[in-house]
Amino acid sequence: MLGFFIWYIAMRYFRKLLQRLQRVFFGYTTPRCIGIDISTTAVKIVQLKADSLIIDKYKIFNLAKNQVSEGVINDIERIAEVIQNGWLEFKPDYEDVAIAIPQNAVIMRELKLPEISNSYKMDEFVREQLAKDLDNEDIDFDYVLKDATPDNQIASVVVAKKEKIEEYQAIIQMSGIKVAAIDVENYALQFLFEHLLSEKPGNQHIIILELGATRIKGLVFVGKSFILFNEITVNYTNLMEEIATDLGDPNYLRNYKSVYEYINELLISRNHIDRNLVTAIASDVAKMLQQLKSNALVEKKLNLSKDIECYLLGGNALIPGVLEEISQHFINRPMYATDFIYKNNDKFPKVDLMRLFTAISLASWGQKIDKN
Amino acid sequence: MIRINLYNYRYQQVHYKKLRLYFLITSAVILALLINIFIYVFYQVKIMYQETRNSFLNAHISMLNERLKPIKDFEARIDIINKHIELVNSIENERDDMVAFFQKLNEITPQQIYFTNIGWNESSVTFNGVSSSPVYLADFLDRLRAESEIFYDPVLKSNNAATGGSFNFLITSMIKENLVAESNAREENQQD
Repeated sequence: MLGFFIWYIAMRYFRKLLQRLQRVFFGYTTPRCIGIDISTTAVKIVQLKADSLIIDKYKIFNLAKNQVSEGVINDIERIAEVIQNGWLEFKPDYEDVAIAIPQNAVIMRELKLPEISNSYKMDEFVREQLAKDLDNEDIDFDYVLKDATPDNQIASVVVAKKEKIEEYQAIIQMSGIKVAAIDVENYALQFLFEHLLSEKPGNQHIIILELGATRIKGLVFVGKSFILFNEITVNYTNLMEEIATDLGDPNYLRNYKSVYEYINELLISRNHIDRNLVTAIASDVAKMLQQLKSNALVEKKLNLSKDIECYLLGGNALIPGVLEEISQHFINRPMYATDFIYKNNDKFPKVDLMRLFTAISLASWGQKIDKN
Repeated sequence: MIRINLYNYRYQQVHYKKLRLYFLITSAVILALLINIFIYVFYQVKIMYQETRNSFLNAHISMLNERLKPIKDFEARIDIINKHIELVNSIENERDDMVAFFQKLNEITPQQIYFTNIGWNESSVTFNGVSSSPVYLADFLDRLRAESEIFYDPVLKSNNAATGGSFNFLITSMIKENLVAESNAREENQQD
């Protein structure tokens, strides 16, 4: 037993040493990560099988009301505690994690870059320009080159306040875990769906709708190419609490950590349709679709076709009656986004998979999923 | 496909680049040291090998020298013999003049004259000796003067009284060359 323990420790250090040597010789690349998605209702931890989008294991730890609201973490210590305990329970194979910050924590800029071939100098130039434009040096940023011609390099820059990044980092590091990637929620979804939609025809218009507890996000793709993103804030807490009071045990609800989990039990597992809730959700979805269509037309000069495909994800998408209500806006019946991943992940319940897309995308950091 | 990473991975990239640089420098230094050590050891081994060879050769050279020593001794003996031969030859060449000189000296030297040293070079001769009386010395000088074919200009350099009533004298005289030829010519003249 002791021998096995010593062997385990030795192998662990040997793997670390190999990883560091690899980084020294071949440069730093983001290591394989565990995806941790801190959303309003839950902390979701996902580990993928190596170099694939197949879930190896996952855990969802529900959060109490108002611990996180609209991307703002109100109770940092409690969330850190949840992550720490969850991490110990999860027993991950990797040491590094990827997290996502909300879209409203970042701003986008476009910068014209001079002719610089050295990436370090280019980074410095972008940093100086951003510090000058934003009059703030405490920023973290990343950028992608939109046009790579040497004489006309335009960088699309994502900037976040250092304190916001450090807040998220601190929560993870308080749990004794190393952060290796900090993504942005909508970019994470965008990246994942660009993979999942890779076999779609190039001219097919597709809308991805994430029906979350406090936000509805909409992403528009043409084929596998991302076109635009939109997000609206929603609030169904009161409606859900009413449902819980009407259908469930009010005393039980008091002890329940999360109303959303209780709603799952009351509505989804019983297949009970609450017309008020469905109407509210469908109304917000209609608003989102309207905004997406007008934005596509104004910003991208794109008239979304009527035979557009729609895929739903997010915890609220499985609420009975929602899919049918949303179907009225489309010629083709919307589908659940789990259809893309269910084939390889059919051993996991759909109700969980619906909520795991962001975490799956985060868990793909450091994975070579392009080759699959 | 766009992937945005707001984590400060650039710091990690620079950090590992620096590590790579330090690693390369350290490796180069260690490699240089190893090469130096290798070269040093290589040459040390070669030197040791050569020293072994040298000692082996020296041992064999000493052995050969030992074996060649009789030959060297023989050569030395040849040299000595050659020198002796040269000496004998030179004596042999001068023997006739010497015989003629001593013959003549014997003829003209009175009984009471004793030579202690006779020095002879190419053209002069010195006589050191002892005489019991100056009369005999005068007689000897007269006889030297009379033998003008061989001796000429005899001079009494010193004549000192010694213990016991004797006299130590020193006479120098010039001597003609080719005594044998002179003597032979005179004999032929006498015969004629």
